[in-house]
Amino acid sequence: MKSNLVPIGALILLAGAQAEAATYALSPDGNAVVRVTAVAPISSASFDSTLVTSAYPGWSVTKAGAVAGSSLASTGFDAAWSSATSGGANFTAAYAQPNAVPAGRSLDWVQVVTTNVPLPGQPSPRLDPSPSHGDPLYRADELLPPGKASTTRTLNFIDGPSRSSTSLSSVPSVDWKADLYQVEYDGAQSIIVRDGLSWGWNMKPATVGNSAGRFLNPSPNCPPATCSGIGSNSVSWGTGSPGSLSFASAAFAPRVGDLFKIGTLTYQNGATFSGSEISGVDLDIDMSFTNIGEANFTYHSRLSINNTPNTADPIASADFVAFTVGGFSATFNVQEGATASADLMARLTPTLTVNPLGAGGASGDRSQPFDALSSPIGFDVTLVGFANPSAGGFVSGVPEPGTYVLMIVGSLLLAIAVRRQRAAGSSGPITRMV
Amino acid sequence: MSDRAVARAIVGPLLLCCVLQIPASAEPQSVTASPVTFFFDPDSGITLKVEPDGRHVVATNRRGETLWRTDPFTVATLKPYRTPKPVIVYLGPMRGDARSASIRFSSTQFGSISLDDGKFQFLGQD
Repeated sequence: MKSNLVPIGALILLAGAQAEAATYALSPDGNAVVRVTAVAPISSASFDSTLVTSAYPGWSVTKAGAVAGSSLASTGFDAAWSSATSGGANFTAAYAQPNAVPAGRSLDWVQVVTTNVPLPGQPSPRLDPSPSHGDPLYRADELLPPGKASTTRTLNFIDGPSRSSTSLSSVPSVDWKADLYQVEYDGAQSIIVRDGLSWGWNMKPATVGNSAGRFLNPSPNCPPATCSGIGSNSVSWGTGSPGSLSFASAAFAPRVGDLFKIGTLTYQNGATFSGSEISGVDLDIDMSFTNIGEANFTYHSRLSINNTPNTADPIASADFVAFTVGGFSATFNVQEGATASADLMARLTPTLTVNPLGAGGASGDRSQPFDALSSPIGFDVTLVGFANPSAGGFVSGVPEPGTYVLMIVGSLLLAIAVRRQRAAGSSGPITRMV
Repeated sequence: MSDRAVARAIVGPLLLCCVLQIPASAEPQSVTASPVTFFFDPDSGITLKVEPDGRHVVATNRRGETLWRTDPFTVATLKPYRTPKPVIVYLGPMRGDARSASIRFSSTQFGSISLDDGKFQFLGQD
């Protein structure tokens, strides 16, 4: 039972000092990210005494600076997800002073929490007292023994706040901040508030971002082909009436797995002299995530540019482009002499790693053998198809290899059936079809 | 004193106790935190009450019929946090969701509870 009282952060510390701090952590579904904010020292002068005196009649507060020679520091601070939807941080701190407190007095904490998603029925900011003592002090004695009010020279602190990612449906960001003050308590109704630490975290949507594209590595090279704009988001090629291809970036905020527009391709079907055109080019798409820059990546793709001989039929003369990577099976066709655009559609998929902490994070300790859940550390993207072609363009599918196999097998079966019918002299329906 | 008067004398205080629903086994609260263990939703006519154990919530309709009864802490498999035995200290409206109520434990753990079926969704802790 006691292990149930130990939050994840404490286990990280107990497991060993080799665990790296996780400054951010993606939710298990990849849709939200929690990030810790910088720990900063705060002066006791900033403590609002009325939070104590108004809520706890008879109590008195004295503000004082730090005890000479004392130290107060964070000893652990990790962004973490304790369940599929509950994310926050685990924070520990330690205080030490040269001399033991006087007889009858104890070392303790008070903490003030400020958040835009407060507890039901509670204001913000609010005192965050222990639930079992009926006083304003923050005691962690029911979490871990080191958190007890101390009559010695040292005192430890531990906390593990969290919020559900569903909160992001009503606020753009969950912001949670705590001002933690070390106090000396007289055992009655008087505390001396000393300097402390400010700490906190926030939770934001993870998949908000934007794309940028650039064309590279034409085939054949230029020269012998003629092209310009390589390295930019717009490339043109050929002599005569050049063809061109450009990529317009897009802002996106999809849920992981949902279809979204990653950008827009615009293709100009020019009339170029044979030998001056290119037949393929790389398209690198830079994916930038607003709230989790650590997950930024570049998706490498390649486009084939299929020039068709020009005839009097503009549709039959349509050139088309298609991605030659992954399972992409659609083509974007543009009629002869036309310029048209189509949205490039994609899906985000999480990049998973086995995270023994079960809590996500960029640098979780992967050597610890408990709760080995897969947690996302970033994203991949899968191109799915073209959509919304403008006038002069149309989208069609390229049969996949499996479709070709089916067609061949079907033709063979049909031929066998016809052969058998003829051999039997039958006048069945197949003979009539032929 | 008539039988009816005797019955009133007995039943009256009992009803009062039931309505107040003071958790008998609840741990000491901050002097500022009087438990709010009763919630009436005027739209649905549903009343939520916390039972004396501080854990179970029971919903009744306008006629006083029990709609459902649940122990959200146990059903949601929450782990004790900052106190060995968290008890419910607050029931109230749920912002943005008229079909749910908000619920908070002494441990600061909180969530929403469906007025329709008592399903609890954990929403966080301080």
